[in-house]
Amino acid sequence: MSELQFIGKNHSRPDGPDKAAGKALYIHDLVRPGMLYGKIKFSEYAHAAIKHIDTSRAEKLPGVRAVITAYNTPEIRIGFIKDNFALKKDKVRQFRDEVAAVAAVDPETAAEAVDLIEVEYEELPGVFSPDEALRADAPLIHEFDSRGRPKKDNLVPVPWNFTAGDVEKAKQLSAVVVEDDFDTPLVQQSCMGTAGCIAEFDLMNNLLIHTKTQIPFLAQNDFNAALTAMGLKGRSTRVIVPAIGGSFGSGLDTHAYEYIAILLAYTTGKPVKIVFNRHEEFTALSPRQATRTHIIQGCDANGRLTFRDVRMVLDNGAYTSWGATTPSVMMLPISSIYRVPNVFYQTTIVYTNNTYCQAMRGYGNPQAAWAIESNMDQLAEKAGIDPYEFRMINANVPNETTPMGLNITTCGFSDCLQSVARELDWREKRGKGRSRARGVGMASLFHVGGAARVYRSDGTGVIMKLDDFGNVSISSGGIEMGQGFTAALTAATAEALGVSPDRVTVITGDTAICPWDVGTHASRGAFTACNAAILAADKARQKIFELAAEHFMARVSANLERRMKKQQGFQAPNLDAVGNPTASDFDLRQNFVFLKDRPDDPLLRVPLDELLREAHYRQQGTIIVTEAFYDPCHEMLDPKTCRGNISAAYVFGVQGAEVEVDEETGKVTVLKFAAAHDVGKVLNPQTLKGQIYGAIVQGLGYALCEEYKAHRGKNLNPNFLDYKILSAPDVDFPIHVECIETDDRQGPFGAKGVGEPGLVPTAPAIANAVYDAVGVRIKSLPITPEKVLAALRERKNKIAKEAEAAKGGSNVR
Amino acid sequence: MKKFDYHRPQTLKEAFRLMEKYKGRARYIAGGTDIIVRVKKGVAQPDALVSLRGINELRGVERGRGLTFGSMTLVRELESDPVFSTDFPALARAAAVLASPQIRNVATVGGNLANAAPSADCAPPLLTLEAQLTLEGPGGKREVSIDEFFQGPGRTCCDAIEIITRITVPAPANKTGMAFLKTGRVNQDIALANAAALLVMENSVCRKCRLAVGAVAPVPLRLKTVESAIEGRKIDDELLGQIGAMVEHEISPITDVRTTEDYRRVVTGVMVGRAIRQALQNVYPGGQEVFR
Ligand SMILES: Cc1cc2nc3c(=O)[nH]c(=O)nc-3n(C[C@H](O)[C@H](O)[C@H](O)COP(=O)(O)OP(=O)(O)OC[C@H]3O[C@@H](n4cnc5c(N)ncnc54)[C@H](O)[C@@H]3O)c2cc1C
Repeated sequence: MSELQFIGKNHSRPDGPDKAAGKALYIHDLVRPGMLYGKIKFSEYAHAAIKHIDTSRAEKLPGVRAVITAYNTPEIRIGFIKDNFALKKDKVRQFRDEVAAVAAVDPETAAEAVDLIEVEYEELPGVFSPDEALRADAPLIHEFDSRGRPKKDNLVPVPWNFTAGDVEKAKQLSAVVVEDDFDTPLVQQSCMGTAGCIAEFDLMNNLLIHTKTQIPFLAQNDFNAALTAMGLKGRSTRVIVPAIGGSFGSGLDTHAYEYIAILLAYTTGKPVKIVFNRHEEFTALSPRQATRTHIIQGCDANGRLTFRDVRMVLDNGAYTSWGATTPSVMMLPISSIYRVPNVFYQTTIVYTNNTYCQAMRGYGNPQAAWAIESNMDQLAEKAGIDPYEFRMINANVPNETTPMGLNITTCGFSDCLQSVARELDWREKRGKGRSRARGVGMASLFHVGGAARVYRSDGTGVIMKLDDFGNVSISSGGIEMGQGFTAALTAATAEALGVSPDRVTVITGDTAICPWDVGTHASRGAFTACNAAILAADKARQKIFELAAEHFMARVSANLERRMKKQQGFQAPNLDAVGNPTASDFDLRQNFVFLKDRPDDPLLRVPLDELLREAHYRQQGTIIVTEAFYDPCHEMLDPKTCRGNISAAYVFGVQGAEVEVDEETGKVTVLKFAAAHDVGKVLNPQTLKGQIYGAIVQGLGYALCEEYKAHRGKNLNPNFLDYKILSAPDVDFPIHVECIETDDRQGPFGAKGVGEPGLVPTAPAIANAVYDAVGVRIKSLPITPEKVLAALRERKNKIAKEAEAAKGGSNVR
Repeated sequence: MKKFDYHRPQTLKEAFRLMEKYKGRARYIAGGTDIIVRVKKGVAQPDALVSLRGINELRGVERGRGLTFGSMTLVRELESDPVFSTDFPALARAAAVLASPQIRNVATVGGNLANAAPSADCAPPLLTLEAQLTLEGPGGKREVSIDEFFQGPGRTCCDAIEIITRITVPAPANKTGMAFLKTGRVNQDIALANAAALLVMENSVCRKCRLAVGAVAPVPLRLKTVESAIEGRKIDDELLGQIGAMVEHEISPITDVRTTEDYRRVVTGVMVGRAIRQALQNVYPGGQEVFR
């Protein structure tokens, strides 16, 4: 792979035109013959006993085909620790709890029928914050655990603890110590395309489900378990994933609505579609966890970090999703960003009657980075060191194993820091804009970049199939959800095989066709699938070259003869000198097979399609199909010590901003944004930058305005009128993105994962810039004008009081 | 969403007849950017929507003693037609920051006023211009001052059948400056608060001051107390320094999911002060010296 032809160059996304033109088929567009529309009846209380459900009026409504509840369907347990149910019996624990559902001939009838279902509740006292939930006399949200044993408290039985070195001793020995609390709110993934599925059964009771998911194969496994619960053990599930309009982690679990569609489809014998409207997307899907973090860090007199002590409380909500494993990712930066020898980390995850939480891009890392990177600036200030210098002093270096056992191979951390400092004109600007309420700030990130062994397998399969026309289709278990997976896999396949990208078709999202994959998460899609594609391409090339050994010279002679006939005076070269090449003498590039040592001879090459046809259309012919399964060389965390090299590579990045604060209104305006990311290798500059720009804007939303507001468990802003994400007119400042190429040995062509990292350090970078601008530190996201203004007033009052006190003091003397 | 009939009359008369036929169960629809949202939410459940789009006399602009324009004038036209932007920059500015281009292409000024949201962006500039609204119903025409038009959130002095047909604003006097400011959580947002100012200056003395704010009271509000404190005075830093407190006194904002009462108070005070400064600058370009 000396000179790369396609990798590192811009190629338009194969999925782009159809999406831009409205031709791509999303779940919303799909219709199946005889399809019914499902609708869910959600709870009206955050915590209540279900006394009675009266479905009779709904059943009588013309057009209604089924009304189901937990009382007339088999129990289906769902969730990471199976503490949740597709339909709720006896009790509801959150406003979104599914108590009944209907299937009807059209969406309007389904909606009308849902309103006719009457549920009698007896309200129970609720708990709406971890503090309330942890009180000794707090009402229990789950009286029993999923094995039926009585529960005594509201703790989620998924503890995370990590210790390295001796933090207590390090505290004693540190020259400077700083501690503080940092909060993050619930935020919603805000996908343009809302969630939905269509479930249907064939007459053998096999399930076909079109659904929006990032984990088709794990979902298949979950749905098979549901079939077993429904008495259909041994029946199969086929999952098909239509075009996805953004997922951001919301598709990492299977959801109650999918099981409800399955139950309705089984009950009615018809395909049943459930698609969320925006209100349901907000209220009945799972947002990113809210966290409270207490952090203490220290350094020595030279500014070297001595320890980090982090205690977190996570509001789980009423049930447990894979989101409860986000602390395993929070632990990465907590244990390993910057070189810090002594680390203590503990997380308590608490049930409440709030909406239950799930995964979102970054998977816990943004919450951890918020606390660490804000606190890094506090520590730097107290130590009297410039925060950029402070980060340089402590930056990770290549080829080092961190206290968590993470094996850092390539590491472009310092380069990233320097890039952002340069772009922001750091030395000129830091600490110098106070009079104009302008400031600069930066923050760093550390994340998995070489997939992550969350499950026992972190593998992905691909099948590469070449047709008679020299076209290649590669099917992969990964999912395109807007991130550019198809573009990356197209370029990698073309590059590794030696064909042009326009010959490559990527096929994803069908468990019956595509080989197994653990899921498109952890920024692993391109990393794993492109690695698998390289392996499959190697096999295909080997087979092609074996064919060439058999047929190449014959094809060359035939082509020469034909040309001599057609073209007067054409003199064919003597082929004797070439001899009888063997498989190892060939190469394939730009859709042509040729001899390695005569790459430039236009007469000594055969178009790939010609060779493939030659192999196919003959007795005992052959076709070329190869497969590969790639599973990175990393390990699962030891469940006791939380140690283990969880990823094959790690990424670093730094983001910084110049901001201006309106001191009268508290409004923060970003003037300039700079990002530098260690990406290993750029596969496609355009799609890579697209990922980073998008992530930055999403991160700025987290920083400045996004917040899922709730009162006693009820969402108050379930729409884009009141849940504000940034849109194009808000990004009226330059964003500079620099990609640092460190060429990781494990990466496909050297590339590391980039899907999530771009939003990880954005919020603390803004908070640090705001501090530089006006001297107030906002410790809870989002950094709203209301909070900034309140902090500015407080600061003003404090200064006035101090001045007053100073005056008073001198009077006494 | 409840199903409804849809009519598109060609004349006002026809429109009135349709409204009478539905006996209060029909609503007008102009651009539909408010009413359709309400119908979808179920907060409005009309049996019929009567479109004003086919009625020609609700369109067009005439210049006379001032400017008269039809209620079906698109927000996009207010934003981009020099007829508005040259003489009424605050109105054009309000239009330019109302919603998104897609909405502005269909939303109308009449709909913005008739909807009577306290946050309606066209209201404060029209209040400062002391616009006259022509209302027409089966019984005939009447003129009302915009100041009397708004009666509460979603309530106006229009009866159910009356249509706002035209809006008239007087030609600005010499030495008039105008400004409009809006605060949202992001750039495209319903105002947390908005403010418009109109000043007529004579040397450094303010002869006439009109101030109006939105989203901080049950209706878009003229700040008459603040106006009279400014009229006849020299606008200097000292006076400007007092404005915030005066404004805060005259408004009655609430706390909702978007922001707090306190923040609305503060930010409105700040915006009115800034709107006055901006208005001064466009009376006297480079007019800093006015209030030095
Ligand atoms: C995404 C979005 C963003 C928005 N952002 C803003 C914003 O930033 N600022 C803002 O002020 N508004 C905003 N709006 C609200 C709305 O777009 C404006 O109020 C718009 O001007 C309404 O005009 P319309 O023609 O669409 O009214 P319609 O919805 O057609 O009508 C509104 C009401 O007025 C009545 N009506 C309409 N015309 C007349 C008439 N001539 N006489 C009597 N009654 C009449 C109708 O019966 C109805 O009750 C937004 C709306 C949306 C959907």
